[in-house]
Amino acid sequence: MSAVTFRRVGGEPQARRAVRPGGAGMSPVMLRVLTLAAVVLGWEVLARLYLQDSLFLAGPVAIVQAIPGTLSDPAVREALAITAGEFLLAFAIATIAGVLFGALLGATRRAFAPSRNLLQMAFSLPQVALYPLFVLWLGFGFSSKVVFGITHGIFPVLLGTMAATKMVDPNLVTSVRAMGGGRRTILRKVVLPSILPEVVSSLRVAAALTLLGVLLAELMVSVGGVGAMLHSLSSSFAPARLYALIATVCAAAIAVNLVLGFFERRLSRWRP
Amino acid sequence: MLKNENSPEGRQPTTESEARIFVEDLEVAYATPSGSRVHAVVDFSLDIRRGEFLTLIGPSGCGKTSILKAVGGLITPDGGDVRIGDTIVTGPVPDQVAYVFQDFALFPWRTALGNVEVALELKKVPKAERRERAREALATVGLADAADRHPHELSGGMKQRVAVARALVSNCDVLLLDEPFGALDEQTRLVLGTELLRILESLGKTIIFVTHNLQEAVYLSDRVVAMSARPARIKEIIEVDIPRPRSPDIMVSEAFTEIQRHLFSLLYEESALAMNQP
Ligand SMILES: Nc1ncnc2c1ncn2[C@@H]1O[C@H](COP(=O)(O)OP(=O)(O)O)[C@@H](O)[C@H]1O
Ligand SMILES: [Mg+2]
Repeated sequence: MSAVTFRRVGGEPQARRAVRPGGAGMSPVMLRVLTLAAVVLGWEVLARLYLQDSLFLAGPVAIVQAIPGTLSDPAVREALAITAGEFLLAFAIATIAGVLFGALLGATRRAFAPSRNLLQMAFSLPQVALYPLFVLWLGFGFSSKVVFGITHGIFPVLLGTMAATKMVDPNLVTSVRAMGGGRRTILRKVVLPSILPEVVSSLRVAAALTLLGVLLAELMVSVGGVGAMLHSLSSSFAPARLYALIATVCAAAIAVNLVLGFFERRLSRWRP
Repeated sequence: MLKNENSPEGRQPTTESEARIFVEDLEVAYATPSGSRVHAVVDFSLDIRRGEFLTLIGPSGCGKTSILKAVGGLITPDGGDVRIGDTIVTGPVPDQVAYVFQDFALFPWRTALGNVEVALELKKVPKAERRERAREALATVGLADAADRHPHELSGGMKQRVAVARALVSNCDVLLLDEPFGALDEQTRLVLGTELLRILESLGKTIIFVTHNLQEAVYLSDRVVAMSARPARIKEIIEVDIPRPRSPDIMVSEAFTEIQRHLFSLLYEESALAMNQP
């Protein structure tokens, strides 16, 4: 129908049609779902045709079938609990410390540029290479894993909070002062609401990186937690179980991301 | 914060009891990045009458904002003092002084109503009363229907009116308006100026208004203070003897254009001077 209208306007419709992605009037969400479905289906077909009783790969159906069994295994549950505990603690500390120090550095004009440069440099380092030092100082257990999670997660929070705090409108601060607000009021009514959307968006990145840090530590030292279990499963020739655990971890990470994304959207509704 | 001043050599009631704000030998200086100090205001003295509409006009960067901030207690003067009534200003005076800033300083995450309410929130006014008074203030500036919109859904002129409503809602006697129309286009500015005047003429507040615009200055004011280039000094004070209430057609009257022309010649020199300042 619309094609008829387009043709009337002359040369323009050609160009317009050319830039439309996907064609065939498909919505982006639909496209994504279909792509995913195609990949899963292809994988299942390949698994059925060529990978019967493979020691390294499993099809989607086998993986899904293995999830309940895997999750009811007490050893797996314990590993999940350990990792979840480490992750939550590391994420909480990265969030609190990152927001506090980030706001402080962002509000201090002279400290801003030097500290940002330093943090960006530190952020770019491959921390994995430094992990032996963490173990040396903190041992193999809980604390080295948590600290490794923190050092992965804290950088985006620090940098995001710093940038957001620097962007706080000074006129708004002056205005609140004129209305009789002191430091605490300014913090509560101006600084916090201004930086919140940015902070939550940095938390999405931080959550992923914190989990990465914790899992990396567990994979490397293999003492407790999901990482260690993945490590041992990877050499146990039980692919469905391995993939089921991986799928669980991925689902948890996606859930955290979705929740934070929800808050981020809610908190930035006032933005144009 | 106002400090009571009970000095025996206080102001003589006969000549100055009508005055509301006294600025005496005000001096404001800022530190430059190179470490030296630049004076924005030097030896500035001025008495503002109760209920007067006084305009400061002068080249950009001459120190007008600094004077307003000193009057409202937002900066501490490097010399001299400001009194409101018989008390010396030593810090913000939210019970007596309300501001409208050039860029409106609205909270982007609050609705128009929330932006007006915030002035009362800081004064611990109970929620129901706050709502009520904020709605009234918005109605006064003709924005009753926009109460639930956020600033990004408002035009420049509407944002400006929200800022005015916020300044009016706390019932302060003194209004400090720092280029409140500065961010608006010429037509909006004219309409809002007229509207503002209508509102303010009925309220009898004491007002210090800062602008670049000659026409606006003459139209709104009882007195216009023409300022020199930085550091801000008074070049001349012009009484605008045009009766109130005023309507826009006075802008083409002989008296009006005469004052405007006089102001122009005063400011032309100073603006040329100011342009060559670093
Ligand atoms: N916070 C500040 N730090 C340094 N210099 C300032 C500051 N505020 C104002 N100034 C300087 O003081 C002078 C007067 O500024 P201001 O009072 O804002 O002038 P106006 O409002 O007339 O444009 C300007 O030259 C400006 O650069
Ligand atoms: Mg100014």
